[in-house]
Amino acid sequence: MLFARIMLTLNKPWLALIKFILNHKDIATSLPPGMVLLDFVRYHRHLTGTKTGCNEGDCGACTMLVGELNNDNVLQYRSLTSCLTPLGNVHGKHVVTIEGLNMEKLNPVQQAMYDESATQCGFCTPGFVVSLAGFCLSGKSATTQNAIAHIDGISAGAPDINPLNGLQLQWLS
Amino acid sequence: MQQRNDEEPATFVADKQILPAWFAGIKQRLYILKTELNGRLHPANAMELVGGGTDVYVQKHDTMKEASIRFLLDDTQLKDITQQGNRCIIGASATVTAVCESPVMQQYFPRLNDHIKLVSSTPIRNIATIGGNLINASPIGDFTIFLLALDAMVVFSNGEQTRELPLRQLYKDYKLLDKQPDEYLQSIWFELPGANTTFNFEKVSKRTNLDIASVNSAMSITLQGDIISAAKISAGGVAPVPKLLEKTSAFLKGRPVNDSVISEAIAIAQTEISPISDARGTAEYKRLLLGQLIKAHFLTLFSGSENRSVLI
Repeated sequence: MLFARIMLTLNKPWLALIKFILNHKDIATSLPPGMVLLDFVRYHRHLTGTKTGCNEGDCGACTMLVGELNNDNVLQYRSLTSCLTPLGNVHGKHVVTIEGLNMEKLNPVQQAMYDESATQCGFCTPGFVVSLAGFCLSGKSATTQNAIAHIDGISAGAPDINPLNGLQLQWLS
Repeated sequence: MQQRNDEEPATFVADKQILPAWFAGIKQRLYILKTELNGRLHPANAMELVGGGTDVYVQKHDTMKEASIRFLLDDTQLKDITQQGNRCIIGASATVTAVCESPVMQQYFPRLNDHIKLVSSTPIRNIATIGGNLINASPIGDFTIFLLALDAMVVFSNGEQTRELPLRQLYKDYKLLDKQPDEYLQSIWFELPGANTTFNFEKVSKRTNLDIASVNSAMSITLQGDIISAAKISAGGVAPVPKLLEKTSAFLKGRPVNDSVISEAIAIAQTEISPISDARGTAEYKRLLLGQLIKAHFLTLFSGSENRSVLI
């Protein structure tokens, strides 16, 4: 069995080991680099807080954060649609899912969502929370306008129906 | 967050208990991981080139999983955005976000942030590459239309030699490119706008945000005094390929900016396009939209001038 696996790997040199940090865990996987990050996280790591919605990058329910060190050794986080991102594109990076934002109590983003009754049907709420955590990690100044700009990837966050328009940002200062 | 000064955001949010404490240690762990990893994933027999994946994973989501892929998104050779003289050179793997944030683009396109808001969404812009937008060859690719009006050049490589051609000549027919199978897009370059040149981008889609254009258009225009010395207008969604309106652009050269010239330019544009009726609108509606977008270009760039009654 082991031999067969090794032969399979040898015959498929593209089954390279992909390494990254998922939330706070080190990951090394020989799953196909073309597998999308969303499927890996949900079906191989069993972290199901991130939702599969449209699978086309439209709805934002699958939003994750990816941090990487740039050439100036600055750690920069960006949001992305994990349904369209192959594992090969997160090699050497830090992937953050909704589970990675949990603390003992609700974090301030989650608390603000709760206080403002800011979930709608709830399916894309993880996308909102992850996107706003990305805003906290972005280094941008704490204005409502900047916060709203960070959730433009979620269909339900379109300015006209956005549940967070009244969101107060005191907790960021 | 204003009070954090120069503190690293990941450390700040951990210290302030906005996010879990382990965020503070990620930078060190990534540094170790980065130095441990040797090289990128470059299979010799790669059948697919993937940038951000935002188009290719929509088109063939199920087959990509097992595909042999060369990942270009993190290829440092293909990511730079630089200025050399009056040229701007963009690596094919530069993301839309990287282009938007680059000092050279911010300097020469003062309204870039407004244009970019019309292009997809933050999570998509963070991974979608400029090269991917051009090679996907969608007739409504927003950055394709943007770059066509700048008369950009594209540089292909087959690993040994490079070949350059004007972007306006790249598209032969619907999704048919003047590109050899062994060639990949290396970079895109264009002349940066001079002091008398202004640029505008317009887009109409069914939803205001996060949608594909019904029709989009860009215009780059140079004035000498009151006379147009050069103009390039591009249009998407009105032909099988993203199109530079060459006749319309040529017509504008040597003419003043006034009602009759704009009306005539729109009439000429109508002869250069062949829109079809589809989910994004009827052919007739798209013809109307292009005319309105051309008016919008002039209205945006010259709204302080007189004699603009055609625009109202």
